[in-house]
Amino acid sequence: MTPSKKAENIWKLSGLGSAAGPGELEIQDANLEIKQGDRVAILCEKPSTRSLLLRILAGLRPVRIGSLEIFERKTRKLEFFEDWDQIFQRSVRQKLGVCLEIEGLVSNVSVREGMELLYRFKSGHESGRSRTQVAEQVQKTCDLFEISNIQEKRPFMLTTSERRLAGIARAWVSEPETLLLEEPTRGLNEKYRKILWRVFQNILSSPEQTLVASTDDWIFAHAFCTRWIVFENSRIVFDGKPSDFFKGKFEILNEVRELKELRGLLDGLLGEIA
Amino acid sequence: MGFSPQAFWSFLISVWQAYRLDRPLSHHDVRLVIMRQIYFTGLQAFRLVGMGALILGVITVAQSASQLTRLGGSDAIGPILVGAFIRELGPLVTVVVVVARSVSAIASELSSMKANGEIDGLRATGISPLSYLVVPRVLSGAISTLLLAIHFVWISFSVGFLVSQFFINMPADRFIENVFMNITGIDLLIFILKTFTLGCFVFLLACFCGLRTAGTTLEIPQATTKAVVWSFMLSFGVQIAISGTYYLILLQRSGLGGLI
Repeated sequence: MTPSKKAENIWKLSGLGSAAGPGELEIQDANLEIKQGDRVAILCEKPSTRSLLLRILAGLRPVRIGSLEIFERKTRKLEFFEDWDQIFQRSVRQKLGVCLEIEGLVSNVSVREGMELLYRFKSGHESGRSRTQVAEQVQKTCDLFEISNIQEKRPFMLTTSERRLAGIARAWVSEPETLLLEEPTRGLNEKYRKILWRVFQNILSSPEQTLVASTDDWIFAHAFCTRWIVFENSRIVFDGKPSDFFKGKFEILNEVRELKELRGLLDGLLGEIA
Repeated sequence: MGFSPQAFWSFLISVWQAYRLDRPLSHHDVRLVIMRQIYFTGLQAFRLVGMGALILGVITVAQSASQLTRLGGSDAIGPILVGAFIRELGPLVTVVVVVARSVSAIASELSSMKANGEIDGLRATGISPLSYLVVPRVLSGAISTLLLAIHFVWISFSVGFLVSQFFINMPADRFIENVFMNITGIDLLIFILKTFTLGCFVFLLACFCGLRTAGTTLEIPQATTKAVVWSFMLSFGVQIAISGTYYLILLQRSGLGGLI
């Protein structure tokens, strides 16, 4: 789990401020760097704040104040329907695998077709990958996520849990070096949660793999993220190791009943995984 | 939200940039979307456009043939058919059908995709909605409009042929010669401008309206209405401008320009 020594800076936020719409800023004065190999959990009691930050990192929401660099390239304000792909000549999105809370699976194609579509598009028209290669990669991903039984179904035929897993599988199909996940465990039932756990243990075995997840699932954050970014009142109040979160400045929180229960749960779960 | 020329211009530039970057036509998936859209926009509207062509063809040809026979100018049936169906009615009726059927459908489809988070999902995962959704819809829409207009002209000419046989007893070879000798390069240029080129812009407008929503279901009917209204305004404006320019040039050439 140790990041490489010469970790590349993936995102750099300087004095960033933004809001989902007009009105008050939902993120204020955010300064942070996310490097290759980081496993980051964005935690905040306000879902809109953590969701907004994740979408800014994915290039889907604009930065109102401050600056954002991605892969050490400065971004600029995007025009209507302009995308990073057009500015950076498709060098950024190829490295990112994104799954939003509403997965946005293409409704008129099956799960498998949607994954094939993404894989072909992401590889670019010049990649020259054959249909067999594409099909093999998709099958490999379906097997990893244990969704082979639903791969021929269209999104509207899936349960919430199946859709969630299919969305994350789609984000992973091109095996991007950085995964950006919005509420990855939201709506997952016990069976699919266990599958997701196994998948993440597999995926995150590579120290180069970067993960950024906005979540309210502290158990997920504790199990897979080595760095927590905690927001309170639109500002970052904590950025560090989870263990530090429970002591020092936040020691008082240890006395809170819910947190005690949470720690008990975490210990039990981690023991189970071990 | 009114029509913003700047936003539309920036949308056009983005579509062009995405086209250059992704070369969507080289993607099997995009070609599949094009075929599917041609089926929905073109083939499924064949019967409707054919009916329109049949009714308008019978009315126009029967009316003009009866008057022309009385005046002894039955040979003028060719220029009348070419003027009415290739330059004016064919493109106009086709575009009206296409806007009513397909522009509205595309605008509502894209706006509901946006409301369902599919557009953000595509963008986030690295599939440009412009390459995957807009380019094939615009291209197939333009091709379908052209095909439907050709279908319209074909049906109306066939009706013209039948009417000329029964009403003015014109020999078949004379009718064919009379019609085809009167089709000029300008007529074909006007036909293409009013169908293929206008089709491109009308479908771009549909995509623009569909994608410009903020992503709420409330905006789906609004986007559809806007797409239809703006497309009709654009279509009628372009048709009037092209025909007006053509007839002005024609009058100038025939020495009657001073009358205007």
